[in-house]
Amino acid sequence: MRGRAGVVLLVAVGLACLVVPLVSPYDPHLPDLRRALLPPDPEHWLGTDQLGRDLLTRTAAAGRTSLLVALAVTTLTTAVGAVSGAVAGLAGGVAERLLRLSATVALALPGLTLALALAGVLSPGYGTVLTALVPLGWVNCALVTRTATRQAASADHVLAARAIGASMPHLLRRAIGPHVAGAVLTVATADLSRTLIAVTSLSFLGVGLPPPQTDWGGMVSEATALLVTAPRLAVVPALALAVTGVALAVVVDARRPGP
Amino acid sequence: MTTVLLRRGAELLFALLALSLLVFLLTALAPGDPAEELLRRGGVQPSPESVAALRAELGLDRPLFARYLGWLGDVLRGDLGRSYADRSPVAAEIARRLPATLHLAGVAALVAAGLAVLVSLATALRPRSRLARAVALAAVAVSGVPPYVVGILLISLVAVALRALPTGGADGPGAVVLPAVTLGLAGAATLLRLLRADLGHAVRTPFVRLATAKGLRRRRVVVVHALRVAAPNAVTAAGVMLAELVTGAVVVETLFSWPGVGQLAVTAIRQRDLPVVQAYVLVTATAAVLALALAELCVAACDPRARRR
Repeated sequence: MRGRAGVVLLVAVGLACLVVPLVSPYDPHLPDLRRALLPPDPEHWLGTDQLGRDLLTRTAAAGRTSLLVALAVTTLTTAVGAVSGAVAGLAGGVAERLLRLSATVALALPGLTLALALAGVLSPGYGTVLTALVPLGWVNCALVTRTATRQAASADHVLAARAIGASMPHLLRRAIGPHVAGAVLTVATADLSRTLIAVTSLSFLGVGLPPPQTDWGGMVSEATALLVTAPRLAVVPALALAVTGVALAVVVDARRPGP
Repeated sequence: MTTVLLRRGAELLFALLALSLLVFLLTALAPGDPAEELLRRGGVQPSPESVAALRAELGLDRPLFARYLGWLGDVLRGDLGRSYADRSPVAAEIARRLPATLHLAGVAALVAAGLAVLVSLATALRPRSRLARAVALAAVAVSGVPPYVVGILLISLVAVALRALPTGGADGPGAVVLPAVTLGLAGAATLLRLLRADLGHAVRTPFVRLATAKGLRRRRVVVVHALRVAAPNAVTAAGVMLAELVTGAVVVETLFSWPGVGQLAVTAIRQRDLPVVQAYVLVTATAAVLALALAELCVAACDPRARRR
């Protein structure tokens, strides 16, 4: 019930972020200093920022960037994690031990600190964000996939299918895959929630994307200097990120098996 | 116990080695040559000869692995190199900034632990009550929002609208309140998420039910019986939370201009001052790794079941 509300909210935010920059008459990146810091009025629904850019358009465009980057990172980590986890779960032996070793190291290391250092050292860009977040991000998914795969592979219906001579592709597609898919999806939503926080935190610290490209974290960071005179500039993107983050967290929580 | 210690020790050593290698490799990943970067700080384009001379002086012409060993030796002796920006020793600067970060993280840990213990005690016996559900939802909500967003909302409410507390800096005793609450809320959400299921399970174990059935007061049942079952996991959760506070401090320090190591690191990143960035990552990540390892050790020491894993 609550999970469904979260999904609806997420879809609404996502649609708004996609549609608003398309229909808005303003450019999210083009400065217009004659219109700097206008209060909200019928022309600029949320007013303009210190460079005269429409706040609503800019927040939506930044949201589109935040969500797309977070989605891209999560897709990559999920793909890497699911494949390596499935291999470790099915093959066992060396593959399994290798996964466990890298997981022990990766889980012990603080992800945000290393991502910050990597992104800070490389030049800003989409590739940098991916490089900073993927290397430690796939482990969670790999571990869950490995466990789910191993459980599924030893389940009775899989044993039965193997006994009547089902081929490996068939087993993966019809018998093991469906069992693992749910677990992978659960991890992927949790990873998406974490990634969204990480991506926007990196931009907040000024190491994410090159200007004028920006996401919600970057917008908040630009606006902190004006927090006393124009709190709107920081609060609007902060609220947008908060709503998205809460909706995502609620969906994650709903997918988690209850106590 | 000894085998557990040995195995965990080996794992810890391995993680720390991997960390040191990663931190060292940051220099190799960074675009540009450190010697040229250093000389260019003077404002003029250096000649190839002076670059080559400095490369030899810094040992940059040696093979990568030899440099790593040399660097690791320096680090183990407490020498974290010199800043590109002003040639001052990095270790001294980190040591000067560390108390502020520890102050912030310490107060935040108190806030987080206080909140989490209060809430879980208040809601443990009635996990389906309205209060418990509201608190659980709040913890889920906070866990989905980055700390600086919570901080921005707190600043604009408390500092800007009510003018109750300063918006940033570290002057006066009130300055720590907002940053610590911001960081502590994130910590409390982590703790609650990790503890919620545990206390729920503990309350449903037969002997806790017996305690309720024989008429003990509710507070006594939770504090004396149920809490003890959940305690080992709480220690693990505390380790996870401490690691999160130390590494998450950078964001809160940047938002509140709190003069800690995180702020130092962000400034260093903007100036491309690599040795400072390396030192920050090394110190913070080591602290986080040790916090997790210590928590695990505590659990192994007091819970015999954990040793068998």
